[in-house]
Amino acid sequence: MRGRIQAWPLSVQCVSTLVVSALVGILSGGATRAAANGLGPQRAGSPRGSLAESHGATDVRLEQALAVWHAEGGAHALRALLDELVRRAPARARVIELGPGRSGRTVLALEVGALGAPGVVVVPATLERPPAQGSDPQVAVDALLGLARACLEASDPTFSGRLERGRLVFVVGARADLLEPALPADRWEVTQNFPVDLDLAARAGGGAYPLAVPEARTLALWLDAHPELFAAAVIGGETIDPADVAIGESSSDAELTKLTREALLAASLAPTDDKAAEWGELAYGCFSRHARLRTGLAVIAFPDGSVFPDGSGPVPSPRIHEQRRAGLAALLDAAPELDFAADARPRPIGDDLWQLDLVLTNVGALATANVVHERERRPRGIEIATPGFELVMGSMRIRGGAYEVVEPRPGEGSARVLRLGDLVAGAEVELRLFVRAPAGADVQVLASAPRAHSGRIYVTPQRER
Amino acid sequence: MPPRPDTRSKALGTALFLASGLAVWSLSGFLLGHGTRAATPSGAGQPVAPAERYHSFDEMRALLEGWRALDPRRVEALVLPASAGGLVPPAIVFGADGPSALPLAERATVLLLGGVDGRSLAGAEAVLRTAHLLLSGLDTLRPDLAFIAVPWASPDGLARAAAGENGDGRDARAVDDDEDGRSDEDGPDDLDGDGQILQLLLEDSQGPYTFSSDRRFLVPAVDGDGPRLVLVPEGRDDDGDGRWNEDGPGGVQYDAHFPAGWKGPGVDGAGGRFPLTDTLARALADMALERRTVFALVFQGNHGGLARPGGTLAAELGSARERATFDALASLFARNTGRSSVEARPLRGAHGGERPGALVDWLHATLGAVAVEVAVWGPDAVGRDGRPVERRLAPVSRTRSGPPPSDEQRRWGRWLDDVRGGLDFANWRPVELGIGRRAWVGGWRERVWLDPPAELLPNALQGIAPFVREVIDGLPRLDIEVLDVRREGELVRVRARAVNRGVFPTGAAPEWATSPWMRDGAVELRFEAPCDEALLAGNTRIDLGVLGGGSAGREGEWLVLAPPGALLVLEAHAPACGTARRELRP
Repeated sequence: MRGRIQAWPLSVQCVSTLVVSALVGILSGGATRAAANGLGPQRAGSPRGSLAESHGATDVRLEQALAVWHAEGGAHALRALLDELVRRAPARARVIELGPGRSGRTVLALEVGALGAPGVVVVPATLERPPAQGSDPQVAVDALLGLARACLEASDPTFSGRLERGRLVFVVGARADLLEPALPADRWEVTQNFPVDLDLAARAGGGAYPLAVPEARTLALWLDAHPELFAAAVIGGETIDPADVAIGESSSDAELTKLTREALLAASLAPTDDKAAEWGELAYGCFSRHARLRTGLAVIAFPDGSVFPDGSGPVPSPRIHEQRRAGLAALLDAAPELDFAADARPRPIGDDLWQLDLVLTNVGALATANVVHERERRPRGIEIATPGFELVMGSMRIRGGAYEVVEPRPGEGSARVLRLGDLVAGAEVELRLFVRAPAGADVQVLASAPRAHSGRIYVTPQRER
Repeated sequence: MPPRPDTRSKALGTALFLASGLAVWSLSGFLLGHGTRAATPSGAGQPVAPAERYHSFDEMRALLEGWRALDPRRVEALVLPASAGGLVPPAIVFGADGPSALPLAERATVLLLGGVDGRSLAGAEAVLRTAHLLLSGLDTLRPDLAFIAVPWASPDGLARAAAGENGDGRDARAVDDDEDGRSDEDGPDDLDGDGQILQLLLEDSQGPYTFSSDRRFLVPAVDGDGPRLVLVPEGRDDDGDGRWNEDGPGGVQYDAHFPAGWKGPGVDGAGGRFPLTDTLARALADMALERRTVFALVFQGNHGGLARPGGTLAAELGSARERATFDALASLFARNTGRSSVEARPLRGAHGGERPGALVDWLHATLGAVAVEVAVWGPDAVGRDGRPVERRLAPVSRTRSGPPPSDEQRRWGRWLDDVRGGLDFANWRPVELGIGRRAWVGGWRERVWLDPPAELLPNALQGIAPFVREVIDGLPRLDIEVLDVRREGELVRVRARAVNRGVFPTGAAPEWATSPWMRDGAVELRFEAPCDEALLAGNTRIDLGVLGGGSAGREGEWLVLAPPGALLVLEAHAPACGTARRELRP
């Protein structure tokens, strides 16, 4: 008995020694590669920041996954790293597969926040310009991963609160060629293969036809299938001011730019003058032009560092992830949001028929849909429903005047709903609804739009005695 | 006197004689038979001719498979993906043999595509007949060309057409055309119970149409016209949204789905959410890209003639640079079919409106291929005597009964009256919808406007296949004319030039290229001496530019030091039409 007890600790000791030694070996090798890439931990003044810099308490598994990612790269290492990030925050993060990429690979993304909520897609600058034009692919993905981790691990409760009603989708696996250089080169460059500026993109070498590159096709179709996304953030590269682009976007996008700039400025990140980078410098057929002109997203690019009033910079920022997180917070706050005024004023019309006068406002910084949505036949419009109760008829008016009749249409199931147009930021509409419900019932009126936070109000119609 | 052979020996000798004779007979018969077979398409005989009628999808597939099985060495099946409705369009690629013939996939390729618009069954039949004609004379075709035939290029739409539906040619993908969250829930119905689904006119103060003076036809309405009308498919408002039959079955119309002048999904989504996201349409594009596509004939449409790229203004301006080529094609078409139009109209002119996303526009703009739409059917295709009719019409003006119909509508009206006795059009008759608006049901019966009636199909196809054959024979073909070879001892003087023996130019001019994939039509004349030091004068490469049909480039002249019998090589090469080679041993 005594001999067995003594043998057991010895074997454990041997095994644990071996394990630790192996770990040390892997970590030191990874650290060497990370240092060679300029991504070593805690390198002060790093212009792009490192994934390791943003972490708090040491997590061995995560560090190991980081080390493998830095040492080997590749889709498998990326997936393992993403799984580790999700493991640390399973309630609010998940790995999603957007669709097929080249050579049987899958385009991966890390989603943070509320499932299906209005949100922002976050992409690396390598979807804007090819590596030959100065964007470092490994650094671009690391910047995205670092920012994702900063968002996941934010201790600021206000940021966490944003993630309970909104979401961020970090598209980390959109350039398979960069993640796995051993893959054969694609015929065409993904940064010029999105279906916008077709003729110009073709002349510039963007491909014989748009979306021929699997990653571009996957991303475009995935964006199309998610109308709840309202903005795109491009991490790295010049700041883009959407208002500079004469494409007929609504004025609320200029408001978005102002809000985002203010947030970035507060974090000492944004350029301090009003002139943004030339839109024309972006390649025809690139992601942000597609996001802007075909999908109707508001697009903001987050620069590589801080710019000073004298125009110098960008200067590497040791707080780059925190600063960019502030920018993402501003973007999340800008989402369209439908809100009912508190005073509903129900009036009896018949035995169980009630007139409800409501005021619905878009309190967000963006319109519920813009001209791109209309031109491109993307989902739009506000839907008014009264779940559980019959919506007999509706009417609406804007800025006084007469109410116009709006006939309810078939909605989901056998319910009837009102379909209204869209509201720009700050706009309101007065609704007059006729609902069949017994007195004293809690009638919920729900307002929803594809990319807006829904609004709801509960009304309890009562007969006056 | 020699002793006489005994009986056994005689019998043996006779047997041997007969046996040897039989052997010689068999061997010679075998050899002759083999040689004979080699002179005709290998296999049992000629390909089965398609019958003089419309073919179903399965019949068409069986025909193509039979042609392939007959001559598997020179006719190969081409695998395409299934449509949204699950139909795999049969396709074949074929070409003649030759001593230095390249594999089919590496040759300059001619595309024969039927019904890309999902509506033209006659176009599908034209591809079948053309393919049959070419296969029947496979040995007489140039061995440097490959041909791809896809009769049902848009199988979902054509399947609905074959079922008698008056559809818009879209594939079977369910699409929410009216953006109400449901797909395909408000399609056409037989409102008046007459067994046909025609069209419905609704009175609408903002309607874009009004009746013309020929009440069968509608014309664009202007202020003051009345009644103003909206034209929709016959049926009820199944989804109760106040719009009529606006969300019928189907998704993408392939001939609006290519990235040429593509402007988005369009008002009704027929262009697709993004260009070439449909798997089968993308496969057709990839097929054209992967092969050296130099010529494409898309058989569809009901304008009765030849249409050049020009679904949008930009495409029209692009093809106008090669106007001579397209007009030469139109002349050939008119001569073979007897139809009177001798010019190739741009697509938007032929169809009376913009056609963004058209395949011929994309093939021409991206690949520099000579691409044309060949409309088997049209009001001038078949007259009362079964022959094409004269196009000239006397001018008409507005009358009290309304504005005049367009010239095209007048031709259709005359065809209806003179050829069909007016039976193929159901006159507009009032119908009660219970919505307080006037409405009429009527329109073309049984797709007669889109495809010829079965009994007129052979007449409509007359001359189409021979036209294609003549076009193929006229494709650019480089040759080298040796003008003079003279030897003075070891010194040899050579004068030669490159010639285009075809009717059509060698390709698109490089300065017109709108994409890096356009085929370069510039010809280069090359001279190869026994060694570099042997060439005493003259350039090894002379750039001749694009050579027009039947034209020669400027002469090249060389002085070379070459012993008698030394090999001198002349080549004329253009990426769009291959290489001609001549060897000299002066």
